[in-house]
Amino acid sequence: MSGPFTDAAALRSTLDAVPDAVFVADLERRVKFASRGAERVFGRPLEELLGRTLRWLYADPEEWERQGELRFRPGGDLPGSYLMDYRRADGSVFPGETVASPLRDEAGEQIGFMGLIRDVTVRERAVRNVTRFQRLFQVTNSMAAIAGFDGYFKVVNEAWSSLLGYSQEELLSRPFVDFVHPDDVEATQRVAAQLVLGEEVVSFLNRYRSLDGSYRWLSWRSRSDTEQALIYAFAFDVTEMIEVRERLQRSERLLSQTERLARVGGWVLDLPTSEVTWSDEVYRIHEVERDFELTLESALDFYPGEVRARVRGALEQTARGGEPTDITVPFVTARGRRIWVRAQGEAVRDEQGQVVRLQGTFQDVSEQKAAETAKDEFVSVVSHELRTPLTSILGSLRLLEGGVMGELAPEVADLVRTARSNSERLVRLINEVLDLQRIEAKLDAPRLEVIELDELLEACVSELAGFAREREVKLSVAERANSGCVRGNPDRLLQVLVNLVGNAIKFSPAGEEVHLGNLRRSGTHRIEVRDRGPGVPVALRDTIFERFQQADSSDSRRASGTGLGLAIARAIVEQHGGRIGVRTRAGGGSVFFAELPAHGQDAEPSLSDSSLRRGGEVLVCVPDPLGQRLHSLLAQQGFRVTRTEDPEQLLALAEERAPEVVLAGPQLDGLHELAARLPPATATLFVSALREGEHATLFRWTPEPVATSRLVDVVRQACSIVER
Amino acid sequence: MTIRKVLLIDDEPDIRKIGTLALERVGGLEVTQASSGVEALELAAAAAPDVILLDVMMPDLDGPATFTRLRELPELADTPIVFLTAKVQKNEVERYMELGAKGVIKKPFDPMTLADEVRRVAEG
Repeated sequence: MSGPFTDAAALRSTLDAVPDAVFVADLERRVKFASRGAERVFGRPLEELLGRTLRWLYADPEEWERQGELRFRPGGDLPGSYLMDYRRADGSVFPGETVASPLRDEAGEQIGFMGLIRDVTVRERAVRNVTRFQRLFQVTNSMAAIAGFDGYFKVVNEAWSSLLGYSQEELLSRPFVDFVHPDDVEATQRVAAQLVLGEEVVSFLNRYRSLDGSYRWLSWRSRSDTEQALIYAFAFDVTEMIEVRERLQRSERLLSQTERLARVGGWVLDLPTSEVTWSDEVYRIHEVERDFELTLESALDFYPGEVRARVRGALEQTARGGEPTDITVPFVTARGRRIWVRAQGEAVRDEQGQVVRLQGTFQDVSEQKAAETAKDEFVSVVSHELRTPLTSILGSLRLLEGGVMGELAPEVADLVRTARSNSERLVRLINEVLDLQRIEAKLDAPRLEVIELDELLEACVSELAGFAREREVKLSVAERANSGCVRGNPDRLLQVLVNLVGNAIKFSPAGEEVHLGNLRRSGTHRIEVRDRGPGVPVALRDTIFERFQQADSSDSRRASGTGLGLAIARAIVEQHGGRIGVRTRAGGGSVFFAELPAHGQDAEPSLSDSSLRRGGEVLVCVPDPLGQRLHSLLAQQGFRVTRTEDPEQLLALAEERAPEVVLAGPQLDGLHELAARLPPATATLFVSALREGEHATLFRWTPEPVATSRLVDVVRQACSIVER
Repeated sequence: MTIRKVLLIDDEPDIRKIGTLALERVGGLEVTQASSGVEALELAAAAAPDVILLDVMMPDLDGPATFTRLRELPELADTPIVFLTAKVQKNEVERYMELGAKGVIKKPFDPMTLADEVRRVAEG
């Protein structure tokens, strides 16, 4: 057999091509063969090397005694590589990485040693140089490392141990990929290969396992020195950053999914730049991709013709600091689908109070719209189908009762009258059930107008003047006082007042008075109807506004009502963002009230308003000594102050006195629940500190803590009362 | 002008019966009945009413459609047409008035005052 693999000359020239020293020694450790590389490494011609002992090549004979003798021992197995200092011909010493193994004959008998010695001067110098920068190397927070092309760390700094928990020795003892997350090994090896080729690696990410089994994300910046066969690397622990990013991505996904399910998206219009930002759902509703060229104009283009002007107008009004935008309009998607959308938006102001952007929601309300239309249709049909037979019944009875068919016997006339009045009641009932249905379905909601309260009150009085005369009840109304405005549906709000005042008249004894008044306080109008009727038992105060609830079912006046009037009134008031209620009137009777959000300038009282200088009604529920101090402080300033320390009594007093402000101390349990039970127009100040100079937190007024010394000013501001 | 003759258009026989009693016996008017929009169009010109009472919900030709067709008859070009209907929600009433109705009387009506109501609306 001959050829390049067996031919001795070919083998020889192959060995000669190796830059390192390849050698064969006999059992006496005498060099019997050396490659050309040995000439280069030791700086001696081959002839000088052959026959020499390995000991002779060592720089330090004592070192040979300690290490070489042990390793090159017949029968030993010479594991791994080791570093040893050798001497060159010129006397210089170099570090040589030595690998060796036993050489055996065909019978398996050891006849010598073979091995390889590599001059690693450059590498070792570099590693040793590091010690000069050791301090810097160790103090840096980031993880610094030098690794060999052999896949082992050569040096790591302290940061590695503190992050991963291994000792430095452990880190150096195993190939670095052993510490890498299995999923990242391949990428890490690829990057290591690039480094070996001399490429620089920036921002490479992989995971390192720490001693406790958890993984840390490391971001790498590495560069290699191919001459030294070393990789210099810095790693940064970016685990938290990545976790934050993942959390953010998760919540973005969640938001996007939630949006899609809820079919509500979000948008922002930056005012100085007109830049528009949409959330995913808004893109979906428009049926455009993320790369859609989004501008204010391109966004408005989706609205058909005249709707576009309405949308623009609503946005402009909100941008000028006016009403929030809330419009439900037809819309054509990019794919030409006709749908209904609801856009809501509000102004966001900077610290100077300047409107800087609009932001809001956007939703596809086609289904709701279709349901509303269907419901509207249903209400209309039912209304017709019920009223048609009733028209015949009632008509027949009226004709009989009217004697058109001849005079009726008295008993017959009485029965006909009973049938007729109950038919009429049935008609009213149908009307009111349908009414309530329409109100609760918000079918009338879009018609919103600014309404002068004075006019509303007067309209109510003129509507009911006849009924009051009939009942011999005096109907009075507060003097026209330019009371202000609310925003809403005028017909519906008049219906509320007519219901409340009509009830009051109905239940008042002849000769008594029903008074219709209007109180204004911060941001709210409170319309009150006071009577001297039998009053509403405390137990019924909440349920009286439910459907078909009347205080006294044996009352003969029940027959004239449907039991829906107050339910309708409540539905309307709540739809206007208000609240309806009743309290007992001192001296007998009831006060029914409806509170509605004030419109326009009324909504924001200011301290400069001279009317604010007048005192208001204040309930103080704060333990002494602060309670006493607040009492005298506020009384001096002209406030009417009532004190109590009992929460139940506080509620009763609040009902009775309708205070502008309640000062509540920290001793009250469940303050939030308590505050929720107070009339909404009541500003509740939560006095959290009992010592002077400390702070009181204002609950439901402003979130800022207020120094006790400023409390009077704040109370005054809360009592922005114009008329009592 | 004095109201004397009424054309009452309603698909419900009972309503026509009550309405006719109310207008003739109580109100002293002369009533021509039509049970559908189509019938009304056939006999309207001959009946020559001073006012037309028109139901809204009727099969085939409903109130508003009948209204438009009646208006096309030259003889009735100026005859006041009043809707007599249970469909009196605000938007519905607005729609009748936009069509050109003289007014709306809502069901259930009071037969004892129907004729007065018709006169008031038609002459108003």
